[in-house]
Amino acid sequence: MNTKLFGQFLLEKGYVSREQLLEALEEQRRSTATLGDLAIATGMLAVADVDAIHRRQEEAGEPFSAAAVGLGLLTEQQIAELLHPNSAEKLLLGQILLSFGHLDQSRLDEALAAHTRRGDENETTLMRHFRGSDLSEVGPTCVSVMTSVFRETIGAPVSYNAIPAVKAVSVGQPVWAQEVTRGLERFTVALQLSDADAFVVAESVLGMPVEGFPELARDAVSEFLNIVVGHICGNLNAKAGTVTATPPAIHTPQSFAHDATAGIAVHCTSDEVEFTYIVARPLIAAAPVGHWAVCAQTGHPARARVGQRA
Amino acid sequence: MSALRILLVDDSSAQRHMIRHRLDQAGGLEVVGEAANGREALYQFAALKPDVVLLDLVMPEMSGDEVLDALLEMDPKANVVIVSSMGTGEAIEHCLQNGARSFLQKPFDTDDLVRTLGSLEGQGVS
Repeated sequence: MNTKLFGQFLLEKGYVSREQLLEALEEQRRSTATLGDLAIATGMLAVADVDAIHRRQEEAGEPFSAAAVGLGLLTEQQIAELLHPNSAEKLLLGQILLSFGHLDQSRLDEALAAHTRRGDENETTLMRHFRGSDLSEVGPTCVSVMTSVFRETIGAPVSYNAIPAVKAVSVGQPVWAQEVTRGLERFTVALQLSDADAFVVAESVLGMPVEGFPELARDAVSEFLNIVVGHICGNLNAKAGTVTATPPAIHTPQSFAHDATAGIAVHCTSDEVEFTYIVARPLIAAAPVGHWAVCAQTGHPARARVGQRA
Repeated sequence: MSALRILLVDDSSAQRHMIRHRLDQAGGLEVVGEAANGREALYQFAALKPDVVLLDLVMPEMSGDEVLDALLEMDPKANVVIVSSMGTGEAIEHCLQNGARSFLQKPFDTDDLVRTLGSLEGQGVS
């Protein structure tokens, strides 16, 4: 998943001009693409397949997706890909730019390939951890954005896995956190890393050495989390409603109160750095005794002994 | 040709630091001022008359939207590039329709930054 919207990507990489993008975005707002249109645009279906699905819809009174799966023309995973708001936006915008003559097919194919980063199986596995929890809707978006921004910013090969949020907070390591609100929903996105790893992240963000400037390094990590949360807000916003976020705040592990029973931590590792993202519900009051655990020693939570908070 | 004179507006000192560093590396681009909020931005804009303003969208006190409006009121020909991590389609369209010359979404690399500023030069900004 590339977190940047396709239109922004096209403008930034010089595929289209500001005027061409504005014209296409205005047209996109007026247009609505059906699932069948999108499936044809991606090459998943031929026009004859869509006709067959429509016939079955009429006969059986089924929705498009059920009819397509029933006929064996699309899988549930393909339907999910087509329904993802970013996919729909990308495909529709591409078709509009083609029809206006602002891009030819080969340039569009090149742009689509450059914009699309295949989410790997690990990412899909991470998302399963949210199933059944009350973060099941926002969680997968958070994981996609976190891992994508991590790859784009840190640059080095990375791996990541999920650990329970309850085990994520290490003694002695600061926690950067922002609260995200969408309608009545509220959740926290947090980032924990050691002072040494904070310097690595800061240098990746700033593109220059920051040794000896701890305040600048902390500010750069705040900006890094702000970028992650900005992309989460942008991606959630594309689905529904206004999404807002508080500015980043730095907590001690003891003052970071979150409902770990509904959270997940994503542990990211590269050759250079390792850190943990936490997505969880914030607690209004302080966590009750024993409600969440902290690691009993410094070092990464995945390797540290986990104990109960006293 | 003289260097493009740029005003950086962002409440994050790290972000200003990063952009300044990248512009220094690129060459041909001169950061003439920095502002950490909207009021400072308006003051610096009036005093420095930069060729381009790189403007963050989410800032305390005055939002980037409000600063954009105020800058264009001061100078309808002001060249403002929005720099933000909040890249919703609506936000991009809103800023471009309200007079921003371009939109750069964080994170971006030096090439993206230089290409965006280069496209402004191509439109006669100098």
